[in-house]
Order: sequence, then structure tokens, then C-alpha cells
Amino acid sequence: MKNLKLKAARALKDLSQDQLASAVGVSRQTINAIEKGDYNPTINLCIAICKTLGVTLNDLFWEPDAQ
Amino acid sequence: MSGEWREPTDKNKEKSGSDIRRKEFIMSFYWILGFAVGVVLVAIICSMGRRMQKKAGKKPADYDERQVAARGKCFQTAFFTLFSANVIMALLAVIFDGYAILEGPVPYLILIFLGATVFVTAAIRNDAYFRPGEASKGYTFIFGALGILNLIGGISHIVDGSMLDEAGRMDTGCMNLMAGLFLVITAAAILIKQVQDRKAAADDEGDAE
Repeated sequence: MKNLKLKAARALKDLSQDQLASAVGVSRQTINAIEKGDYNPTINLCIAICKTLGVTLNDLFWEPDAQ
Repeated sequence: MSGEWREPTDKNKEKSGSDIRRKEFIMSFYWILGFAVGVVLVAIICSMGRRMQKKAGKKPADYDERQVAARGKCFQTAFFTLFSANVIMALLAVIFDGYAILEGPVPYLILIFLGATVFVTAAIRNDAYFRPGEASKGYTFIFGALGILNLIGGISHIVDGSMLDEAGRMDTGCMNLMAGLFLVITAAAILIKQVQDRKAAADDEGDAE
């Protein structure tokens, strides 16, 4: 499933995938894979991304139950 | 007496046999020596490169978590390819009582090149060959240039007939051709990936705007 929240939060901070990747110490392709839903990051990477974007884990990675 | 034909005696036969063995030993000695010198040279160049990077403070970052996982899968793919190819080669050797067209260490070297090619191309395809922030441009040139040089060497071996032994089997002279193919395939894979990455980065920039 695509992570559009991450893409939106990144755009809000005016960061490219490459810039976010450099900030959290991963490759651009890894950020791209997370946004596309091709890769599930570890909690450590999730925290690093959230800290860089100034958001919480819930904001980016929590999916509310669809009722 | 020159020009006079002599029946080869047992002693002469024995002497010529030992000469052939001596020649074979010298040939294999030089082959091993060449191989060892190659390994030592590569080790020296690699350690020099690392030392230069360390001095310049340009130590490349480690592979990220996705790359480590992807490399594991690539190793797995390469291992099972190597395993399957080994089984096929062993079956062929049993059916044909040895390798009909391959000589000495060539079958094993083919398997090594096959495994390496599968791993490298799979890692490049999954963006797990280069570390984050590592530039791949220089490698395309190095792999491409070395590949072309090896292909030229391999083609010259085909032309002068040194790729085959007296029995018409592929000799170690085919090494250049295999190394050339491996390096050119690697360079092509990097080049294709660079084009795809450039397009993906441009798409991302477009989305941001």
C-alpha cells in the first residue's frame, strides 16, 4: 500500500527524496520504495524519518481502522 | 648424424614423456604464479583505494537496511543459480564421461562467472550494489573499459585459435571472453539503472513542484 502521508509530509517540508534520504542515511531508492509501499522500514528508520520531518510515528505510519 | 631416422627407443620415449610433464609443470606453475600476482595486485589496489578514501575522509556509508535485505535475496538467487548450474554440469559430465568441449578448470570458472553475474546484476537491479551516496558513474566507465579490453583479448584468442586445445576443447584462453562478458553486462546493467534512476528522480522533482 502506498504511503501517501510520507510523500505529503516530505513535500510540506520541501524536501526531495534524495534530500530526505541523505538526512536519514539511506539511499533515495529506499525512500522511494517506502513511499510506493514496496518496503516496510524498521522502527529505527521510521523514527529517523519522523524526526527529520518533524512529525510523529502515528502521523506517518498508523493506519486507522476502516469501519 | 643429422637427417638419419632412428627408431625411438624406450629411453627416448621416457625422456620425451618427462619433458612433456616438465613443460606441463612449468606451464601450470606460471599459470598459478600469474593468478597469485593478479590477486596480490588487486589486494594492493583495493587497500590503496581504501587508504586514499580514509585520508580524504570520504568513507562510503554502509548499506542501508533495505539494501542489506535486498543483497541477501540477491545472494540467495545467485547461490541457487550456481547450485542448479553445478547440478547440470555434473549431469553432463556423467552422461558424456567428462566435459566434451571444456578443458581443465574452465567448467568451474564458468560457474563462478555465472554466479557473480547473477548476483551483481540482481543487486544493481534492486539498487543494492552501490552504497547510499556512492557515485556509480565512474564504475560504468571502469567496468565498460575493462570489459571491452577483455573482449578484444578474447576475440584475439578466438582468431589465433588459442582458445581451444589440441582436442578442440575450450581452454583457459576463454577467460578473457568470459571476464569481458561479465564486465560489459555489469556496465550495461549500471547504465540502464542510471537512466531509470534519473527518470525516477525527475518524476519525484516534478511531483514536488
